[in-house]
Amino acid sequence: MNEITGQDIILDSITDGVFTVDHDWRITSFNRAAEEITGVPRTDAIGQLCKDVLKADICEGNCALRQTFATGKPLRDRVVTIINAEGEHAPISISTALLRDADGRTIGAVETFRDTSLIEKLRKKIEQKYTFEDIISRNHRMYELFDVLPDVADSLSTVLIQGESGTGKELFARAIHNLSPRKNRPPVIVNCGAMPDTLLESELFGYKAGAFTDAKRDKPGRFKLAERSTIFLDEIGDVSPALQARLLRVLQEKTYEPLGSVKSERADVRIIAATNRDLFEMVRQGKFREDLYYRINVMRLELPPLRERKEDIPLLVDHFIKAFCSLQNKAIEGITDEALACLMAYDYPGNIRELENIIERSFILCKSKMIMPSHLPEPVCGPGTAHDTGSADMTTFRDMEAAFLTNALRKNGWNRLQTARELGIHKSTLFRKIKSLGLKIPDKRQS
Amino acid sequence: MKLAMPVWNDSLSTVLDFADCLLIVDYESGTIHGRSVVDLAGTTMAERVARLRELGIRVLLCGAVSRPLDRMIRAAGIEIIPFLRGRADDVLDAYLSGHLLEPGFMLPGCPRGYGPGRGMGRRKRGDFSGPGRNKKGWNI
Repeated sequence: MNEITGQDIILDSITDGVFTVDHDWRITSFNRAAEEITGVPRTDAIGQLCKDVLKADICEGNCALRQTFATGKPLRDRVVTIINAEGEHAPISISTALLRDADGRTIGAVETFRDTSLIEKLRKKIEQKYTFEDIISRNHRMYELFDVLPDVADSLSTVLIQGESGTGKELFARAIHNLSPRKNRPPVIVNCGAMPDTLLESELFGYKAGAFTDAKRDKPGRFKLAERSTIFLDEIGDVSPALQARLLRVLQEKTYEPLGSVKSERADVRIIAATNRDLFEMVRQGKFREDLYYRINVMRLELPPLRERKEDIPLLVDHFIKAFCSLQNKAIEGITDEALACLMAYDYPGNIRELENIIERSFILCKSKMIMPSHLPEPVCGPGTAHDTGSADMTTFRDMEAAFLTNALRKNGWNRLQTARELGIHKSTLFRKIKSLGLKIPDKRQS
Repeated sequence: MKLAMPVWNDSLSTVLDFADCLLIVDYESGTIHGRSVVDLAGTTMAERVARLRELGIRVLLCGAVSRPLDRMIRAAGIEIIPFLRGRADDVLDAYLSGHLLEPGFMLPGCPRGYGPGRGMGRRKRGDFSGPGRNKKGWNI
């Protein structure tokens, strides 16, 4: 079974996944690309039922191969979803055809398939139809958020998302909406910080003809547009006290009046608010209404900044490289260990948005296959950074990991628990790393 | 106690995320007291998890499952034993008798770094497959 045949060599040279089946739906050949996409080694796949290997949404009930066997006609570019090697939903495009021997008798069928995940991701970016599966993270604090997300989405309660600029508040809001029973209607996004107060008021609540000089006819507000859907009020901390009072009324009584109207309108709208400010502190300073704060703070999600989930940086870098390769039609394969060490050592005041910009910038400068420290901007890889101070002696990823952990430990006064917390890893992971890298922790009595 | 299995015809459905039908088994001390079938067609991941919770499911035996759905099920406090295959009755008997680790019940290929792959290598055969065992679930 392990013997590689000439046919296997030919099939392995094809970049699309290819497998063949006999009349009993058992796999008779399986190429390398198929191994990569499905995560099933050829040796395990041969002889298995194709549905157990491909794990697609059409296998039970709408099988493409069964259709081809029944009609004798090939199928082309049918998009289906599988569970891929990473345990994620992945869209693939499949084509099927019959296999015949020299006498024209059917001896089986062949299925070719192509991973279209990247195209799908770009489509989602354009359509903004994000689900929580699109949030890239392996951080334990993010996992805790993922765990409550379905319940939050289901509850229809008001949600307050707090997090620094660029941490993905809108992505979370969209994910909550797309998990909620209101997902079939588009969410309405309003950036409260981007508009002057009077404009924001008419945008949110709409106006009636004649309400002011240029109001020639009725205009529905965003609350009206978000009827039976979700409204996302970004930068809620920037709203003026007068508008805060009107928003409070919407939250309390579920009604509002468009400008110039004498009649109240009911608002069947789910509200998700977000801010990068400390609203509680604003309440204490008298800048934000306490009653409104408690109305919107029914369920609060605190998004950690990127510097507190640094283990996600390699995943995010990989994601952005793939996305920009596709968008800009470039063939950059990855990032060097030195450049990654620079990215890991940086603090990202602009969070994930800043990381994305850094990778986009490196794509402009990078003429080779790998992103190098010289392609990164100065604050990340300039004088005084990890790259500048230590990379000359660092030849392996292990050296860089040791330097990175030593820096983090030193910064936290050699407190391992605090360091683990800052790095967003479990303390036992840090202890294991310290041991395996042979790092020396100074004795507190000496330091 | 209630156990659930996504089924297709008389077999365990290959992928939980795409399964249309859920077999619910009420059992106690290895004895089955009742069975029923629930329709899952057209439901989202969150709705599937909510349904499992409403039904009071404690254990879920299933085929392949995506990482996000797996996490949501675990977060709901349901023990999940994924990457199984076979006739539904055979899988159920194997679970109740503690023989679920027979090679014939395992789907080929398990997503990297999760599912039975990591946990199983360190466990003895039959260690976790009976009712009331494997309280911690599989490693992720």
